[in-house]
Amino acid sequence: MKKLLNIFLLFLVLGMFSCSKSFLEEDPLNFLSTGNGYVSYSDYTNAVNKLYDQVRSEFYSNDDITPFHYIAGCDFLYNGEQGTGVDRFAPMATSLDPTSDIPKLHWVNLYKIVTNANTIIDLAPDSKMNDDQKLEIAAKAKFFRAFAYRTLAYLYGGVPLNLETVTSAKTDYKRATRAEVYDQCIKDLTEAIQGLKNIDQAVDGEINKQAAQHLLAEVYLAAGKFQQAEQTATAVIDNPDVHLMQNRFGSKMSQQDGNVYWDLFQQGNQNRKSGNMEGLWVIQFETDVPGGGASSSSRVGYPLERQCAPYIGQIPNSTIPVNPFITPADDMTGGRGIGWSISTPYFSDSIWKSDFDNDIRNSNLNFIREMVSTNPKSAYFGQVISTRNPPPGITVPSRSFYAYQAKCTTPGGHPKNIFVPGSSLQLSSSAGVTYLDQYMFRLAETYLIRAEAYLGLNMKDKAAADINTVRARSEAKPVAASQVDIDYILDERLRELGLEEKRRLTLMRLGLLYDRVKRFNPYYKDVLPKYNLWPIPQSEIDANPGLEQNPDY
Amino acid sequence: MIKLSYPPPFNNKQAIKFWLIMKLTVCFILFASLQLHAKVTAQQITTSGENLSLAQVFKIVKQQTGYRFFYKDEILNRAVKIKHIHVKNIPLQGFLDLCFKDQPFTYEIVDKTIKLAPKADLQAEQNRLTGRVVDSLGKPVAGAAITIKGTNKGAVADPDGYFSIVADPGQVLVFRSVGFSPTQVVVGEKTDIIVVLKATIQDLSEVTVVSVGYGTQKQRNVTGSVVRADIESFKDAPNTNMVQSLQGTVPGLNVGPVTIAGSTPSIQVRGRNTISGGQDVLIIVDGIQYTGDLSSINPDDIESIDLLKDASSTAVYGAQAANGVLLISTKKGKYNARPVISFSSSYATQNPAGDNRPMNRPEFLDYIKKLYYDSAYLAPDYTTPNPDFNVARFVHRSEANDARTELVDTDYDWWDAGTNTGYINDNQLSISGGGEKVSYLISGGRTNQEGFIINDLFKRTSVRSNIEARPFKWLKLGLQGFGSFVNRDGAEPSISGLFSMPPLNSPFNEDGSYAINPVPTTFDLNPFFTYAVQDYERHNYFVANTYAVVDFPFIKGLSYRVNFGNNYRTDKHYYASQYAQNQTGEAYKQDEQYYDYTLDNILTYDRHLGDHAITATLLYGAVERKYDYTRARGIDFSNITLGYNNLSLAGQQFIESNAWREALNYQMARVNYAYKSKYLLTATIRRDGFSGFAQNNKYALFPSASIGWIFSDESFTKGLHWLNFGKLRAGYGLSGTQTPRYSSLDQLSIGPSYVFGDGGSTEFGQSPTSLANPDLQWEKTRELNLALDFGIFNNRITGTIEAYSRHTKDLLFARVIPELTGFSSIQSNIGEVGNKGIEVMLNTINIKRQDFSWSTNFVFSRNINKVLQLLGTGDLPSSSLFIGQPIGAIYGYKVNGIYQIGEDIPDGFYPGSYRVVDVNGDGKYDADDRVILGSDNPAYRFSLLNSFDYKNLTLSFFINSIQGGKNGYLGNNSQSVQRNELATRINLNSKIDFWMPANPDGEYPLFTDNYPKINPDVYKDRSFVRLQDITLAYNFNKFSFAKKWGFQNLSLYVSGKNLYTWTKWKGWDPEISPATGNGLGSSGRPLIKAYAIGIKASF
Repeated sequence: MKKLLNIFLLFLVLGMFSCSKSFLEEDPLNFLSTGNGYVSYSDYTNAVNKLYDQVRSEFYSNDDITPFHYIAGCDFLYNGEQGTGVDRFAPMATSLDPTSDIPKLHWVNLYKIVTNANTIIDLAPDSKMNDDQKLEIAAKAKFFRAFAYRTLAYLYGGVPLNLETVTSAKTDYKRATRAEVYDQCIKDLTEAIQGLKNIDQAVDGEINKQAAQHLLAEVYLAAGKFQQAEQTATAVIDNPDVHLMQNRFGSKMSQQDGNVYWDLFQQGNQNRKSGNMEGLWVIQFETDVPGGGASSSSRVGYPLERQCAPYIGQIPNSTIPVNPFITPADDMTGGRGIGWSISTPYFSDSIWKSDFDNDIRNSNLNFIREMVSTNPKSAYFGQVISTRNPPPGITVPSRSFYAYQAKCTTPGGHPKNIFVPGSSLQLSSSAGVTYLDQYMFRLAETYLIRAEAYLGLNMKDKAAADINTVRARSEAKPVAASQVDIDYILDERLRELGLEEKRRLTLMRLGLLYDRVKRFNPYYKDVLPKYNLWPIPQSEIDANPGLEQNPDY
Repeated sequence: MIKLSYPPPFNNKQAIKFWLIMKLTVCFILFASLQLHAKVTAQQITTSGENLSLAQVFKIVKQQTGYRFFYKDEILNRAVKIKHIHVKNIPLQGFLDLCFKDQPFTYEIVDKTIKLAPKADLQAEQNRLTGRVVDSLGKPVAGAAITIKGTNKGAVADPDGYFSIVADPGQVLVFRSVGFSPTQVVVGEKTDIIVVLKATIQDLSEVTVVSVGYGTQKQRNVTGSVVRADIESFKDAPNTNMVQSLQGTVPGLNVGPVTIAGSTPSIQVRGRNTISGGQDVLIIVDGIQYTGDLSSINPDDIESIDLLKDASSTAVYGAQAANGVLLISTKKGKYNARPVISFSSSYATQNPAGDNRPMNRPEFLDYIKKLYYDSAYLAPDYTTPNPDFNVARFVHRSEANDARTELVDTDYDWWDAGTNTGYINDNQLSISGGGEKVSYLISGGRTNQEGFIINDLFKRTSVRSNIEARPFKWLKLGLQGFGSFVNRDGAEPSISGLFSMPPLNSPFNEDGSYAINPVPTTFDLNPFFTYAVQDYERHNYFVANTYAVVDFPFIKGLSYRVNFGNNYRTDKHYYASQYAQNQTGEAYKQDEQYYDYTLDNILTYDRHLGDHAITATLLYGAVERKYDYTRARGIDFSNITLGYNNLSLAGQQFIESNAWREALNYQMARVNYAYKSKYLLTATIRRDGFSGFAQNNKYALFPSASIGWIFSDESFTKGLHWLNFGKLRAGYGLSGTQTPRYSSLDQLSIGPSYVFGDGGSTEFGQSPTSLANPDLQWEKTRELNLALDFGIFNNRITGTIEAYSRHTKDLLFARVIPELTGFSSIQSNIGEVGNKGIEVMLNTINIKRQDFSWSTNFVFSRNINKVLQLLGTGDLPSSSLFIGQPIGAIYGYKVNGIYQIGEDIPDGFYPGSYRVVDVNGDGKYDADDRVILGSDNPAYRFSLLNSFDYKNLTLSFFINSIQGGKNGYLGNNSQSVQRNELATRINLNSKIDFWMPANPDGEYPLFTDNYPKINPDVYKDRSFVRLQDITLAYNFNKFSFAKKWGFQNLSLYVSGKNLYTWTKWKGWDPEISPATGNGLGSSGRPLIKAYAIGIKASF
């Protein structure tokens, strides 16, 4: 029996030693972890690239609904589809409940940008990069962190300031005040500006000093620091490497009836390579290139066309049984729009009344009101159908027909794969993406930011001068200083920027969302003052009970 | 009598050397074993001579061995002389073989007498006797040994109890089998006999040997919860996956239904142990863990399936065993058995159980009318039809003429076009047998299944060869190898697409080509686009399990076994569709490879010493698994004719690859001890190391112990004549659920992220996607198991009653953290969950007569699941987790009918919406009104198998049921519709009874312009009783033609599966998870009803 025991013990001992220790070590074969993924300049460049991607996704291309939370439910668009309008803030009580998707989704996405930036900022000092590289990488990360926090502060008010890499389950965050968040953004941006390249040195699409200054000026406005806002905006405006485009340029220069405002929104015309000196930060889309963010064979990209162009296909009814238009089509009818966000009469008519005909931004090329019937079977074939005087059976505005801003689509510019096979006009069901690079910041807006700063400083003359610089480029009549107030600036932003602007951020920064919607958008009768801030997501409060909810939610 | 003489015993040094060798592979074992050759010292003959007569030979033999000859004199007259012989120390038998080589007769050695006999081929066939060995129930006694008394001639009964032997009239046949009393039969005139063996007093548990992991044990001595599944009763059911035949047959083993051809159902043992950890039962095939899909295993190759349920029995498998262990053994050949060739063939039809379908044209138009009830009926109460209503104005505009006065003529049945009556065609061939030193089983099978949905195809070709050799008495070597080739070519149409296309639109253009958007101007793609593709999908499995068993000569009862299992799999999926990617085309080639090996060293010591019986097992083993994946994909083809075979024609090309590795290293020690064969003890400890365990917790220990007491062997029960067998057992142990590999590491995602500038190239981006947790641990399940096994009334009633209590802690859980951290959760060990239950298994023999018998098997199980602890105090409503409630608790709004027109309806609700109950009575309808409505866990399950035997006819039917009791086994069966453009072009299940004013009792909400602020999900009872299997078989063995043609066995059968289900649940089958089937939803798949006919033959 003893011998037996000896043998058993030997057996066990042999077994213990026979396995090398590395046998049970876990080396991931197809992914990196933070331990080995943040070493070289190229690692950090990758990490920064992801920030661009995250911003593009959150504000433009995440899907065909959520990017439009930044323009829907404001003072210039209304929900086109009755009954399924929660994503277009109809009704607001449902859309903006603490448990609903909208507040949560953007909170999560924006904080993911913060986290990615935090990781870079935390780990960069100990990396193998040289000092110049460290400065550049940290500057970029800080810009993006400020960009995310500024957005969070506009939407939710004061939010928790998380400025470090998270490594464990921390659940005791507290909200900072909105002013503290602005201060953090100002600090980050001030530091970022030191390390960022001047715009003429930066690659197309790359974040640069002037873009950071533009953002900083806006945050100063939000913080009520009008003097600093004015100075910072001036630094951008006075920079010799940027200016408003005054003359025809770019890919469609030869098209006779075009104009310079129209040129700004033609394909290939947003980046500086095209001669555009006005774009400060252009969000890049490159169709059918991995990482390019847009596809010609599926609805991947920025589906602004789908959201904002009319649903022409829905025209036929008992009065007009035959659609006057071939649809969806690569022409002035708005591509494959489905009329989810309809221009309010305020947007399509009221704001233009003062100078309807001169302002090139209101020409039929830029704000489409008239379309020529393309369907040979239609009684109207070849005739102009106008939103201002529609034929019987067509209601304006309705989901199927309304005036819309041309920059949401690309007439004549859809990529070949998105057409119905064999057709050069009719688009396939996957169409709906706007195949254009997008301005996040454009110099014209910097002028309007400075105008707002001057207004805050009670210098209406200078405010009017800045507004008129913008108006003059579009051949619009100048505004008198006495007429300039915040409403006028907000109207001017609609005229100049329109669908390009993240309108919600402007209105919520100013605390004027309720006021403007109440006055100008009769389609949202249920708007309440509390909607000037979004609720903190309930799930976030559940996970971190110390977070305080915004008033009245 | 052959004796072995041993080499001198090892000294200690040699022993060490020997053990070192043992650690190496099978080859080394073989090498080492060559030193252990044996000598035979039987009766030996030394002689030489020329032209010897037989009489002289007899004399030599008698002189040298004492053996005598017995013969009839006239035989010697026919003898021929032995011309030349010269032998030294040759065994008697060898000597006789030489001498009788050319004689016209042969010999037999009977005791010390050598008997001359006529040569077999002369007389054998007329003396061949065939028959069958059965037990008192008429069931075959496989492997019964048959010997002719007083000779060394014999035979073995085949798996169906049949045997064949040459014997003279008057000779006595002795039938023996473990667990039965030996029976003698005198050979008479009959050449076909049936022998009924009587069981010895002990019940069958004495005989049944079950796998317990790294060894076997007599069922009688088992102290843990180990059950052998009854696969025999379901062998004629049309199942292509062996797990299907376990559905409902073993208490505590919960097997789900199957809806996809050839697929493996879900398997769960004794309730849910975990919130987010793995729930899969551990599968062991022939002693080696099997990670492949069980659809690769041919059900006909399976000899037995044993299930380990409680922690005291699963603890031998440690950290992988908390969800139970299924031990599958494949068939083997038998030594010294003549070859048996078996053939079977069957054909089964495949149709859905139940008749779900989308609406047809009249139903669809009626539904449109409902949607627009305020036009179709007259105000104010909308119950009087509006005579001016024209449905053409309200259908989708593609379904009416331009003036919207007339409907189009199209009436297309999408569902019918996308489905057909499927079939299963199954053919099996095997040959098995063995000689003295080798046994073999070689089988091949071909299964061809076509499901109910068109192109739901499954084809399996499998070959197996199980070979074992015992070159020496102390050494066995074996190979259990199989190859399985599964073909799943072909892709289905989109089921939800078939369901939701309106009958007024057709999939075809006027020229017969597929329409892109069958409903024009919408983006709903033609559901046949996923069907009209090139799809090549193959899964090839190659398994070679080799083993060697050494019975050590120098220590009695000690044996060493090494298992070396190899498991290799390739998965190929090639695909090309001209319709994908907006008709620009997409194609890909995807290749996966998987390999694992298992190396187990098992040392067993098995010894009886007086009243003590001990079996000790030591295990040392390792497993390594490797996987890699490559995919090349292209989209945007200018020409896709060549499909996936020329991806370079794609305008955009993508490549992907992936790989992982994981490894296990473990040791286990177990002792089984029995005192006086009635006091039983098993104690086990296992130590598990796993690469996927977090850095700070690489090893885990899993101890367990169980005891048993066979009280029917005690003297004080001797007076209880009705009691045949009684055993009480109790076990307690710890087992685990592994953390999935890489789950404790933080991960970065890297991929193409951005392009700077027009015409720029791809830039990659990276960001962290998960947090690391270096302290992450496996889930720990502790379980107490108590049971009573019994046999009473002459074993007419046998059964087991078992109760258990499980407690699992350190649950793997993605702990929610505020998302402002950038992460939604961190993998943590949080919370505790308990399962308590009772299981009953009862087998009764109701009638047992000469020609007729009736037996019943009843199975019952009840499990109560409860979340015992979560984070701190908190319930987690967002994950539906509440302390004191089961996992799968259903939390939501109570509903009390539907608001009618004219009713006083609160704000936010409308006619046609659910009347949500203001549970807290605060006058508001909000999230605070949610309550726990019940759970999706069954209250209990039961099944009943009845088998009838009448002469050659066997009938069995199997009823299976899951019951929810009060508020249990609920499933989400919500349907509602809101009128909008979308609703007019989406077809729905024809069984949905929507509300409208003219149909006030309609069950499901319908909304016109306003969507209510709360439209809750509704949950319904899924309880059901199902006639799951029914089989009628007829055996032709007794017919003379069968014998004439040489059949050992010939039977024909018909069977049916899922013939009828009694339930209140509406829509797809209640047992199909509502998460995927969703009752009346469009994406569900039917449960398959099958009728089968088959033949089985062996000869």
